Parts: sequence; structure tokens; C-alpha cells
Amino acid sequence: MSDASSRFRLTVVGVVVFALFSTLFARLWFLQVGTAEDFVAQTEQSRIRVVQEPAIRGAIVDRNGKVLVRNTLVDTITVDRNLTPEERAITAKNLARVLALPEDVVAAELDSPKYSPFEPVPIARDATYETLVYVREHPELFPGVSAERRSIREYPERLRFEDFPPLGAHLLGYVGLINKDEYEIQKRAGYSPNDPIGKQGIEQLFESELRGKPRERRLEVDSRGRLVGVAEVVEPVAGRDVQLTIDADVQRVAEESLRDGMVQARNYTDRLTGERYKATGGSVVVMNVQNGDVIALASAPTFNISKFTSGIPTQEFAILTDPANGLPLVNRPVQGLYAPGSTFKTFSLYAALRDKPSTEDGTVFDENFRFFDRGFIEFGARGQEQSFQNAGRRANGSVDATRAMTVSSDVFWYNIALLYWRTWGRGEPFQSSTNLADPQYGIQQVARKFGFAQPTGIGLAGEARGRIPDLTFKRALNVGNPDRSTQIWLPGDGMNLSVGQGDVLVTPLQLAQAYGAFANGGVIHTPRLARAVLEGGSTLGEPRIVRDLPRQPARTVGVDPRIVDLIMPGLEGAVCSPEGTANSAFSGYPCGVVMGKTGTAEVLGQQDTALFVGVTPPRVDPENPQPQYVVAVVVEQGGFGGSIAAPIARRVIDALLGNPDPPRVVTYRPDVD
Amino acid sequence: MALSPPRSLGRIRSRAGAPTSSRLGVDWRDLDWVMLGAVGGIITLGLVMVYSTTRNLVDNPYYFVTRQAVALGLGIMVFCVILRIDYRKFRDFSLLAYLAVIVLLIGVITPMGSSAKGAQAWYAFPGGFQFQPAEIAKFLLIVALCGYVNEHRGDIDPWRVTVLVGLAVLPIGLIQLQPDLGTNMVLAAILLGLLAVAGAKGRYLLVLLLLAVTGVYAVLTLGLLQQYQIDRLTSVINPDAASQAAAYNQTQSKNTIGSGGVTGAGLFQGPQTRLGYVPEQHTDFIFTAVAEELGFVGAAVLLALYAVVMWRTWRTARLARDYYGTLVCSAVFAMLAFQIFENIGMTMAIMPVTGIPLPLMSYGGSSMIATLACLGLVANVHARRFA
Repeated sequence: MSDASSRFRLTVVGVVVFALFSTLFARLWFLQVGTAEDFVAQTEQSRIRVVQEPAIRGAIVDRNGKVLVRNTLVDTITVDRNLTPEERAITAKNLARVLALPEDVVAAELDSPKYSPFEPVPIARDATYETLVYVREHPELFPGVSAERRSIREYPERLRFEDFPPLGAHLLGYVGLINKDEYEIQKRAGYSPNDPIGKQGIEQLFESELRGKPRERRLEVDSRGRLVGVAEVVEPVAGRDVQLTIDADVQRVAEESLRDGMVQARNYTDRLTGERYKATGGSVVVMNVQNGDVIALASAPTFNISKFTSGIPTQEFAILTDPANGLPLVNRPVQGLYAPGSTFKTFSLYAALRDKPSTEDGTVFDENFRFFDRGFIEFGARGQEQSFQNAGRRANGSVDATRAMTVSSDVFWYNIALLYWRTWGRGEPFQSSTNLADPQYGIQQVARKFGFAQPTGIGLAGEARGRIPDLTFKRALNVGNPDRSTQIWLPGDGMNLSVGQGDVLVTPLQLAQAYGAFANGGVIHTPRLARAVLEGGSTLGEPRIVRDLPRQPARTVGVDPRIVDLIMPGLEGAVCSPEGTANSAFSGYPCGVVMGKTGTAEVLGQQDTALFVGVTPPRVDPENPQPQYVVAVVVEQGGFGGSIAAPIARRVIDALLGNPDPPRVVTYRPDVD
Repeated sequence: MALSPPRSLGRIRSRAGAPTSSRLGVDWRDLDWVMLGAVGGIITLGLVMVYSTTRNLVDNPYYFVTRQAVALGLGIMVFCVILRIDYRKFRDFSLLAYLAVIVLLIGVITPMGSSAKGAQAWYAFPGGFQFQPAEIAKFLLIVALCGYVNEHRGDIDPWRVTVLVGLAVLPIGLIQLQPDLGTNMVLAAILLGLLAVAGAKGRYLLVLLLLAVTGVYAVLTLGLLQQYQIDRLTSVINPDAASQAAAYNQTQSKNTIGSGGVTGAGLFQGPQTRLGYVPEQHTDFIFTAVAEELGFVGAAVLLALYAVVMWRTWRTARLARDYYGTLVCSAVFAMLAFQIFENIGMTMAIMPVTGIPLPLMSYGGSSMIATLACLGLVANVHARRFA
């Protein structure tokens, strides 16, 4: 061919091209042999769409196996997504007509991004039989429309008052379509954007057990998103059933009694304002004192959770969240915060009997301490005395601890607070100390020991913490206030605290837990809601336990049994002594069956809160053990504890003691506290 | 400069007898059967892969592969015709070839041409057939430029280089009006290869390279390119940048090749290919189908077949009886090398995305015919290396 120069140049060009080909080969090796695994996963991700259909959700049963929530099949009208625009228009128009829905609502639903594009869109979840028949008989009017059976929640236990709401609405919670926030949290757990998910209550708490594993179809789609085939089907696993610690019969009595008592409270007039009591809300907690099992958890007003099963209309949901309707969605036993009023006296008395403050003349506060109740107490520098008084300035005469508890003498407790102040809290540096271990803060110490100001850990959403006020709190409330009295702990602060007023806030559940610990020798049980997980569908046959749910943690707080023995007679007297504040409510009950304490808490700007906490039986004979229960009743803006809350508790205790359908609640004219 | 005697790297055979009367005008024993075998293998695989990538595109699964087979038939005819004419005669048609290029390229940007996908690059014929003059321009320009270089053998001074560049720039400019960046890059590669072999001094090449870089910079910044072209070109450098749509092609392509693994998903079984996840898979991205369905084994075999074609072309350039033969083979060598490297490199995300077909594989009649015409030249040089 050519000269040496050309030959050399050709060789150079050849070497360059050889290098280029080597590069291609190396890159090919890297992609296909070195890192192929990653690419397989990446291409699969773009090619496979996973479509889920929820498994049958587990049932919820009470401690005796009574079904509270189960599933039922409903006929659902669904519309195929792959319609031509003309077919779609016909379907939307006719469906809107037969379902009495606005056409744009139906059209919007057909385009909703909530649903997978490969799945029919559910338009009506509880269509009537007539509608179904009409749709089936006129296929030309409804292109792409089909009827499907879908499973929805059903509540066999209903309360016997208007609207017949299901039992335990707040406790059970409801199931709804997953919302955006929940989806963000849950998508790793395999949820799809249109999956049902438990909201609130047991449905939320035991979501992972109840849900089961959805049927999963892995669909293969092409680059334009068209369905090509089904790559894989994973069969569903039914959700498991959950057995609660709740006793459905007691729960029913609790809810019906609470509502009953609230309705009756509204017949009475608040003498301070001259208005009828509003009784805007209430709560009943029943717990087994020995193990923390929750037997009933009632919140009023209740609402109809069955309306949530097919998706609740927005306007109805707005009614439920309107404060004017008493905020029915609030789960008051765990979310409601109340001043405990006189029900708190048990703990301030316990503190005083433990710490034994003394008077100026050296008299030590003990079980023999007597005090003359004139109906009010005055203290302070001469000329600027402050007066604290009993409800109605009622004078109780000479009282000791037991009688003071029975008749609920506030003045006796004011005096306890004053003794604390005189003994340990007077002057500097004591009244500026924020150290809760200091002796002047004995009441706070005891309250915290009994579990106040910390969540019980029941597991229900939004549980409140409560508050036991101390100097740190007081100062935080009055940051920058130059008035020195707002920066030190004053006797008045202690006096308010001693009778459960002022800044003390507790939840009904905390109240029950604390009285439980008082009665069981000082064990704080974390409340337990469920006792076992059962095999899915076992409500249909013989229940088979998959696993028992463990007792919740408990801690022993060290209660002195001698002090408990000193306080107990007063609490028994409150129920069975003729001058006891709850005596009328428990008429007919022999002494020794129930002990308890009423409370009538003043709330700024509102009517009084009526409270009652009772324990039955007060003592358990270790030779002859029997279950011991605590019942805590709170009625917001209900009036007197003895006349409003105690009768509700009485009816619940009737049920606990074996009468499944006790006589209706009878409240009393609130002329005594 | 003295001519050295011909030196053969292969077997030396005597050609004492009379010329054979083959219908191709050459002794069949003088044909490069290794090259023809490799080309045949690539073409066969190409037809199979065109079928694999197009059977779901339209109702008739054989639509594309049939058209490709027709183009292949035409290409083989062109190959035979070119093989039959002694390549030295092409020297006499250098000017004619050049004029033909210019006329065809001017014609296509007049209303005579038709446009698709934003480029006016085709002549439409009845029956749905189209002809892309830019592809044929590769062949004609090789003939034309080689003729010019051959005339000025050993005298490639700055003036001649300038003339050569000028000769190439005119069609390049016309093609840029369509626009067709990929073909222009191929033409530039041909010019560069030709200059390198023809003996242009290193510094001329350097100056040319600088000019090319400046030119590319000007094209990118002066708005001579559509935004999508810029995006595609730069996406290989920064695939995560804003030009997501541009990077999509290449990411899909790379993932598809990677997912093939060692042995591939099996012929017609590749999910990405079957479901159409790689854009333009039957044309520019056909290598991805080979890699997904036949795996590393199949793709490496294809690369090896191309390597064989390149090797035989290079070898023919060395064996050529005369300088013109060497030049022609070198130009074809440069063209094929650039197209193969750019196309396969682009599918594997080491080169920017430009619309360059994979020779002998990609769907497209003009490219097939032009490539076979160029290979016809090489076969011609090979077959006449003794005479």
C-alpha cells in the first residue's frame, strides 16, 4: 500500500480504536457482571405496581368473648377506571342520579388519586338492594359499573338511647382510610394510599394484629402505565382478633348510667348562677385494683362510630369536632383534665399523717388531732386576713380526720396546709425553695408517689399528663412578675392544693389508678386494655388464643398500711355514715362494701365538676381473695359530687357486684356536698 | 517519497491465472470471508433484535422487521454493485460525489424534504419509504475526500488541510440546518481519521481539535442547538441535574443493560424491552435489547463481532494495493469506530446521547444501506489487493 509513515499512522489509529473497544468491554462488564443486582431491582421498581386488597380485619371481643366489633359484607358499587370519556360521562350522570349524589362528586371520586388506577373505584359502599338490582338490570346506563362485596366494621353491641350508638366508641376507635400523615409514617409497613387503618382506640393500638396481611397483587405495567399482566399474587392472611379486659356488661352500664346521670343533672339549678347545670361531658373508669385490668372506660358524650365505617361525610365530622356539642371525639378518661376537688383529700391527709406537722403550741398532727370547724378559716397579718371556707360556709363543729373525711370538711384540710407551712415552710429560705424533697412539699410528694402528674401509660392516643402544682410551676406561670408573692410558695397555695383545687389537674384514669394503689397496698398498675390475641375469625368458632398479652408493668410505691388504716374509716364513712356525703347515693348498702370520696371542684368560669371515686370492696381478705375494683366518675359542669357523680358510680358498682341491669340512676337534689 | 513494495500480512497467494469471471467481478477466493461472516452475524442478530423491540409497537409485529429486511436487500444490492466496480474508478467521480452530496443536502431542507421529530432530514417516497440523505452523505463524502487527499499525496500542507476542512464544513453546515448533530459528529470523525492517516502534521490536528472545541462551545452557547440536544449532551456529565427528562433515557438504558446480567433474560423475554421502557430502543438504543435479553454473553459476542469487522477493515487498509485504497478503508474505519463507540457508549452512559445509529443493527434503511455501501468499498479494496 503505502509508505512507512502512513503505516505508522494507521497503527496509531488502530491502537486508539482498540483502546476504545476495550473501554466498551470494560464498561459492559461493570454494568452486567459487576453491579447487575442493583439494576435488576431498579428496573423492577419502575415496572411492577403493587395493588393491595385489605385482609379480613380481626374482631374485637370483651373479656368474656362477647363480640364488640366484627366485620360484615356489604354490596359496594364500583366503577372500572378504564372507561372512554363518553362511557365515563354516562356512568357518572346515572350513578349520581340513583345514588342521589351530586354529579361532580361522583366525577371527582372517579378521578381520585386515592385509588390505584388498576382497581375499580368504590362509589357507594352500602348501596341498597333496590339500587343494586336497578344497576344490574340497566347495564347500558352504567358502563364499567359492577357490584362487589366488601367487608366493613359492624358493632353488635349498642347503647339503649337515641341513635343507638355502638358500645365503647372512644375505647374501640374506628377504621378509616389512611390519611396523608399516617401514610407517610406507615408506608414502610406496607400500606397503600387507599388502605383502611385503625384510628384511635383499640383499632389504632392493635392495628398490627387486627389488620392481618393484605392480598397483594404485583402487576406488571408497560412504559405507558398499561396493565400487561399479573406477576405475582400473595394471598392474604386474616387479621387476628383482640380480646379486651373490658367487660361489655359493665361498660354498657357505665355508659348508660353516665348519660342517664348527665341528663338528670341538667334538671338541677346551680344556685350560684341560677342556671341549669349543663353537664357537658363525663367519664367513668372501672379498673381492677389488683392487676390494672380496665373493666370499663366510658366517655360522654359519645358518638356513632358506625358512621365512620363507610367514610363519614364532612359536615357530620364537623359536628363532632364542634366545641358547642361537647367535643364528642375527646376521650375524656385519658384526655380530660379536671381539678379533683375533695377526692384529692385522701392523698393530702396521707401526707399529713406521714409527715406529722405540728401547731405552734407543739400539738402534733396525728389520728387523734381534733379541730373545731367553724365553717371558715382565716389567716394572714392582722387587718388583711384571708378567709377560706367550706362549701356553703357550713360549720361541722369538732372534727377529727375520719369525720372530716366523711363530711368533707374543707377547713380541716386548709388547716393541714397551714400546719405544713408553720412547721417547715415559713420564712426564708424555705418558701423560696423549689426542691420538692423539702418537707413543706409533703403533699406534692405523696401525690406524685400515687401517680399524679405523669401519664399512666395505658397506650391510648393523646393521654394527658396532669399537673401537681409546685413552686417551679408557679414561677413558670409568673415569669417576670415583680410581685414577690408570685415567686414564693405561700400557705394559700398549699391550702388550694390540699383540697384538690387551684392548679391541680388530673385525668379520671389517674384518679382511679391512685385510689387503686391506695387500696391495694401501694402498687401502681399500668392500666391494661387487652388480655389476649386470638386466632383470626375465632369469634365464629372456638376461640383459640395465639398469645396472651402480658400484664403491664407495675411499680410498688411503698404505702404505709397503718396510715391507710387510719384514713379508711373516713372513706367508708363517706359512703355509709348517715352524714357521709355519698350516703344517699349508696342507700341500702351495708357498711364495708364500698369506700369512696365525693368531690365538687370549682372551675373558673364554669359550673362545678362532680366527682366520685369508690373502691369495692375496701379490703380484700387474703384468705378469701376476690376481685377489687375502683370506679371513678367525673361529670363536667354537673354540680355536686355526692348527688350527681356518686349515683352513677353506685349503679356501676351494682353491676360489678353481680346485677347486670341495675335500676336506673337516681340523683339527689344537690343541697349537700 | 519512494513507494515500498506491497507487503501482505496474510497468506501470499499467486494470481497467475486469468481473472475469474465471477458475477461480482472478483475472484471469490479474494473476498474477505472473515469480515463478511462477522457482518452477516451482526446483520442477522440485528434483524432478530429489531423484531424483539418492535413487535409490540404496532398491531403487526412484523411491520418493522419486514421493512428492515427490504432495506437490507437493497443494501446487499448496493454492496454488490460497489464491489463489482473497481474501486480505483471511484477516484474519477470524486467531484461528482461531492456535488451530489451538496445537492441532496440542499434539497432536503427545501420543501422537497419532509420532517419528523423536529428535524427536516428525509425524502419521502410513495409506499411509506423514506430516504435520509445525511446517511448517504457519509459514503459520498468518503469517496470525495479520499479522492482529494489521494491527489495531494504527501503534500498535506496547511492550505490543503484548510481546503479539506472547508470541503467537510459545507455539508456539515447543511446538515446542521436539518438539524442532525449525530451525523455531523460522524463526518467530523471521518475527516479527523482521514487527516491522521494522510499525514497531516500533529500540530494541524491540534489546531483542528481546538477549532472543533471552540465550534462546539459556540454551538452550545449561541443557540444553534435545540435545548433538548444540549440537555442530552450534558446529561452524561451530570445525570442528576435539572434535565431529568434527558437523563431518563440514559438511566433507563443503563438500568436495562445492567439488569441483563451475565446470561440475560432470554430472547424476547426482557421485561424492559417487552414493555417498552427504553425510548428509541429499535433505533439508537438497540444495544440495550441485546444486553438485556442475551446478557453479558450476547453483548460481548456482538462487541467481538464489531471488533472483527474493525480489525478486518484496518487490515485491509494495510493490505491495500494503493494509497487510495488505504485512504478509503481508513475513512470507513474511522466512521465505524466512532459510530460504534459513541452509540454503545451512550447506551452505557459513558458518552452523551446523540442520535447516532448502531451500524448494521439499528432499525433504519438509509443507515443500513450507507453502511453496507461503505463496507462494499472495503471489500472492494480487499478483493483487488493483488490486482
